[in-house]
Amino acid sequence: MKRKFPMNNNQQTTETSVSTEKLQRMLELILIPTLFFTIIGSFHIHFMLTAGDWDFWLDWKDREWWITISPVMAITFCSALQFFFWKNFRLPIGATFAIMALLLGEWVVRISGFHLWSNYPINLVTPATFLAGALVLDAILLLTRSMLLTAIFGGSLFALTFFPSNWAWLAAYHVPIEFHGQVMTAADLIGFEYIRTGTPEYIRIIERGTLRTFGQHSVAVSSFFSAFLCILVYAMWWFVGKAFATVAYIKERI
Amino acid sequence: MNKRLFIIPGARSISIKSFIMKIMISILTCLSLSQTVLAHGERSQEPFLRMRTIQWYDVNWSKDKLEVNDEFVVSGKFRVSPYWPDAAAKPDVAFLNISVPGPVFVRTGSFINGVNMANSTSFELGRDYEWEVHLKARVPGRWHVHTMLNVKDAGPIIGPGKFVEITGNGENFINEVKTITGDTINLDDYSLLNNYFWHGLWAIFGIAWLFYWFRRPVFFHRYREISAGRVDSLITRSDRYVASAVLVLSLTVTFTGYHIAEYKWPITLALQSARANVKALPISEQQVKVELVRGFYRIPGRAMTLRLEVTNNTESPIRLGEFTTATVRFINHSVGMMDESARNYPEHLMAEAGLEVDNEAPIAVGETRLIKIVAQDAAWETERLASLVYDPDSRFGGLLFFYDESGKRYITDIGGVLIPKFI
Repeated sequence: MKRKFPMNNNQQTTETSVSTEKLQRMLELILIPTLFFTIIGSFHIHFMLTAGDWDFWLDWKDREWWITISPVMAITFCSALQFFFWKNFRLPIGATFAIMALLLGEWVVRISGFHLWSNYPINLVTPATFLAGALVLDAILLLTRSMLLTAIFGGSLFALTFFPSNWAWLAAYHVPIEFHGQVMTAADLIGFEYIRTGTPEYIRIIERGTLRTFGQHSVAVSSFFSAFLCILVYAMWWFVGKAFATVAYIKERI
Repeated sequence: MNKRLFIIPGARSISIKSFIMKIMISILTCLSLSQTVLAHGERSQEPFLRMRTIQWYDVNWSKDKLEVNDEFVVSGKFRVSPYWPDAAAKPDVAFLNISVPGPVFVRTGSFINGVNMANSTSFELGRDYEWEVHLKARVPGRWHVHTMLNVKDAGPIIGPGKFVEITGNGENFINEVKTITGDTINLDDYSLLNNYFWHGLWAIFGIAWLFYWFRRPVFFHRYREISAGRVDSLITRSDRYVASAVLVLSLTVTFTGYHIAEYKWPITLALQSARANVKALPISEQQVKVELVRGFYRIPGRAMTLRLEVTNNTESPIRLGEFTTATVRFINHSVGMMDESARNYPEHLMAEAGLEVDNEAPIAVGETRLIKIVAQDAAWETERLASLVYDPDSRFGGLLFFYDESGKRYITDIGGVLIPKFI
C-alpha cells in the first residue's frame, strides 16, 4: 500500500509493534502444532512402552493392574508439561495438552495400524481416556497455583477419576457370557476370538485373585494405591519437566 | 530459484527432479524384486525346539476353501516330548493358539481332550493330547493357518501350516453371541458407538479448554510478562471461574457417566483368568519299546540314519510305518497305512523319498530286533533342521509310528544324541 505522507516516529513504532505481534502470533500458530506433534511422538512411545498392553487390549483392562499402572504412567508427561507451560507462560494446560496428544496418537494408531491394517475390531483396541483427570489436574493447578497442592489433590484425582470416567464405555464389555460351559466377560471373549498369535492368554497381566483380602473391592484399592503413586510420580516428573525445559547451550536470553 | 539440491564444492550437483526420480526408481526396483511374506517364520525356530518339544501328528484342516462366515476346524494330536530340552521352560503354563495373520478368522472355540481351552493349562511330558480349533472366516484372502502352542517362558512352538482361502465379502461378517442376561450382541462392533461417544465428549472438553487458552497470544507475550515480573496479570478472575467450572464439570460428567453405565449394565463381572485342567489321553499298556543305539546325520547326503533296538510288546506283529519330527513326515510307503492322512498334509512337509527301513519283515510279538532306518530328504535343509548338528546340544527327538496288520497304530518316542558326519 502506497502512503501519501511520510509517517512520524509514533506511527512507525505502532506499526512495527502491530507487525511484530502478528509475526509472533504466526510463529505461535506454527509452534503449537509442532509441539503437539512432538508430544504425540514422545508421550505415545513412552506410554506404549510402559503401559502398552493394558491400553491396547480390551481384555487387559482389569480391576487391578490397569487401574494401578495406567494413571501412574500417564501423569508423567502431564506433570512435565505443566511445569513447562506454567513456569514459563502461566498456562494451566500441560496435562490436557499432553493427554490430547497421547489420545490423538493412540486413535491414529488403533484405527490405521490395528484396525485397517491388522483387522482388529476397534472395540478390542479402544484406548483408555485420561481427559477427566487431565482437566482436573490443570484446573487445580490454576486454582491453587501450587505444585505441591496440585500433586496431592490433582495427582489423586487424576487416578481416582480414571476408572469411573472409563467405566462409562467399558462396562458394556463386562457383561457375562457362557462360552462352551465357561463364564467369560464380553471383553474376555472378544480377546479370545480375535486371534493374537503373539499374545497368548497366560501373558495377560490381570487380576488373578491377588487382592482377595479386600474381597470385591479391587477397584477402590487399586485406585487409591494409584492415587498415592500419582502424587509421587507427579512430583518427580515436575522436576523432569524442569530439567528438559532448561536452556543449557544458549546463554543469551530471548 | 536454485533447483540444485546438493551443491558440494568440487562435486557434481544433483537436481531435485533427478533426486526424486532416482528415489522412485529405487523403490520400484525393491518392490518388483521383493516377495510377499505369507508364512510365519516357522523355519527360523531353532531345530531343537521343533524336534524336542511338541510333536504334532494327525493334523487335519477340514476345508481349504470357504466363504466369509463359514466355519472350519483344524484338529489333530500332539505328544509332549519326554526329550524336552533344558534350555526351554517346561509346559507348566501353555496356551493352545492358532497362527494366522491377525484375526482374518475368529476362533469360535478351542478344545484339548474335549476341555474348553479359552484359558491356559499345563501338560505332562511324554503324554498325548487331542485338540481342535474351530475357526470362522472373516476376511477374504489366502491365509496360512498354522497350529501353534504357546509355552510360558519358552515361546511359541509352531506346528504345520497350510493355506486356506476365504472368498466373499468381509462386510457381511457377523459374530453374534448371546449374553447370560439374554441379549444378543455382535462382537465385531459391540458397543462401539458408546466408545466413540464418551471419547468424543471428553475430546470436546479437552479441545474447548485448550482453545480457551490458545485463542489469545500465548508464548511470546506471556513469557515477556513473566520475565518482567507481572505474573499476576496473566491469570484473570474469569480464568479462575472457567477453571472452577471445568473442575466441577469434569467430576460431574465422570460420575454421571459411571452411574449411567451402572444403570445400563447392572450385571458385570471381572475379567476371567482361571487355569484349565486337562487330563492327558490314557497310555496304552501295549507299547513298542524302542532304544536308540546310535544316530547319525550325514550333512552332504541330507540323511539321518538311526540304529534302533525295537521290542514288540504288543499282541500282533508290527512294522515301522513312519518317522516324524518337527512336522516333517518320513513315510515308509511299503507299509501303506499313512497314505490317507498324508493326502491332506502340506506337501512341502512330506519327505519325498520317504523312510527307508533295512528289514521290512514284521517284528514278531515279543521279538527284539535291531533295525536301521534312513530318513533322507532335502527337507532337512529346506526346513532348516540340519543346523541342529552345530547346536551346543546336538540331540534330536521324534515319533515312530508302528502298525500291525489290522492297521492299529502304536506310537513311540525316539530321541537322543545325533553324531554329525561332515563327509
